[in-house]
Amino acid sequence: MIPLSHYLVLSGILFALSMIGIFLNRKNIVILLMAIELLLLSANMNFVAFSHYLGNMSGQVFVFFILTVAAAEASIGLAILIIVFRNRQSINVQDLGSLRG
Amino acid sequence: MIREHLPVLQVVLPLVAAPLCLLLMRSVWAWLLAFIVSLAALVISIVLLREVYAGEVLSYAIGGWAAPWGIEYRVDAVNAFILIIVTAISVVALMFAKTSVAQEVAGDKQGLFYTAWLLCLTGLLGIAVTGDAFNLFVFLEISSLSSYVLIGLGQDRRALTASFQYLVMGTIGATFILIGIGLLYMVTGTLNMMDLAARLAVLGDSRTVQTALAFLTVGIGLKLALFPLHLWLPNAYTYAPSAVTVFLAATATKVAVYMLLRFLFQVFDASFTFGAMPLGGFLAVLAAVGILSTSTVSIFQDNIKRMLAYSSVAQVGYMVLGISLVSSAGLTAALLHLFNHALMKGTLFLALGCVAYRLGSVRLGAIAGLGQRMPWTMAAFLVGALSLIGIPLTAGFVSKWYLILAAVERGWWPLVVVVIAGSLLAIIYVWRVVEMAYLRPPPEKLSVTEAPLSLLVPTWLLAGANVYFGVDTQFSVGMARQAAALLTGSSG
Repeated sequence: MIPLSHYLVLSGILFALSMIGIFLNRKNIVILLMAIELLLLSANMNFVAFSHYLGNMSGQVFVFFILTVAAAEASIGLAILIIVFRNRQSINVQDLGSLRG
Repeated sequence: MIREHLPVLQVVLPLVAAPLCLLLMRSVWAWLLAFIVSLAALVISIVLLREVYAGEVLSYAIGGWAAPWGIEYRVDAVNAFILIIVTAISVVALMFAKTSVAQEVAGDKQGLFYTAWLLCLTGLLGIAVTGDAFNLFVFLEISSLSSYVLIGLGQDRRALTASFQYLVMGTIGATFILIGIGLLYMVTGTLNMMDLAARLAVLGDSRTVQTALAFLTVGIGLKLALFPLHLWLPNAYTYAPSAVTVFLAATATKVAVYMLLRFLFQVFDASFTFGAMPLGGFLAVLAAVGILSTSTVSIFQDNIKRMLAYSSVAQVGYMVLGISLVSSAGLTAALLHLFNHALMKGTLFLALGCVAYRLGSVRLGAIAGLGQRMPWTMAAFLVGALSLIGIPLTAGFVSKWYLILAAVERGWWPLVVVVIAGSLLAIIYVWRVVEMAYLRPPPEKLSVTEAPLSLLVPTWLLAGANVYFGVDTQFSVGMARQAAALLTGSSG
């Protein structure tokens, strides 16, 4: 039997990876979106593990809700991305800085 | 019969109306439906308020599933107060939206616009009314996702990038909240807020609970634009369509403040959050630095919408300051400011919406001499601005007065200085607009006229409310006091 802490460490690693992806990523917006998805997945990981070890199924039900939310999030993000790309022909993170003024 | 279902109707009504809005091909019909639904939601929230005003708590079990297992909707004095604010602002902003959105959003997208608006309303009302922590997350996402769309519909091309920035920050915030809720679920095995509170009180302190508190505070801090986490807000407010700015500025951060209150005071015990954890001092410092720095930044803004957006961050600082005092008086001040800030920022952004409608620009340089050309609009702006500064006889004065009293009561004199300094800074940035509008001659060839009546009426409704609630404080102070008593009572 794998102890709960292993799952938590895994989700902690996912969390750290996505944080790195969000804050150190200076190039690509798509990677930014992927990092956000990873963040939500690490939360999912927690929920599944907790629900298994608590013997309480509701945690796994929530994961489906979270997945739906994550999908909606990604679709809106990608939709915005496509329009931005049409306007500027670039998906560089630096271009997000051009909001001044 | 219908009375007992009111708590859920409040949320279900806009949720069901949203897809209907999409089906109505004509944008006028979509607007009418959205308006009627908001009006109905306002009526429901008034009825709910009357029922809980005496201190009663309404509980509604969805689908008949009893509380700790099923989702429970709870209405008490705190969220009835929030519901009134959200629905009233939605009604006023929609009155304004008809003319303003017709100009700012392309015709074929207007149906979608009102759909997203109703979904956002659903989410905000849902957050306020639900008593279930996971349900809260889902509603938070509904309101956030639709507000990304609303912001993205702005005229300026930069609206898209602003919306994307908000999406990234907002999702991180929501995920943090989710992780916090997940940790709470792990230690207690329940998600009902009342049940959580009861079980956490028995469990006491543990590292998991501390982590959960940290994640929740940071996540909600991102959503309510607490000082160092506010970077998404100025861009989002600046580039969103005028009506959306009014709606979001007056409701979205308020609902986030409500979430913070619920978690800090009811789910966790106040003696834990502010006693065992050093959260009080932490929030007070962030709020104080936030008030001073963002007020200073707003002095240097050229775009008036952006200036007011930074000022919003400072105003959120006042609310958090009130919370960090951890006293009944401090909470009263925070809740009062929550209500009054919705009124004053609503007025200011509505007046700016009128300016944007006629001029197409809200830059400081563009409004020279506008006090003569659009007297009613600028007069409404002036009322909102006076309220923002906190001049007596306006709503802003009342809440700042209570905030200062609460700080004095705790003996935190530096905070009194911060509040007064914040007001002085507000005078400076507001004065720049007033000077430009009233003391400069209008350019020769500028031929703008007063904004149409359909824009002026909602603007003056809120401007009037600013004065009314500055004079007759019975409702706002009474309500805030009762809500504060409820929050501190259950924690004490």
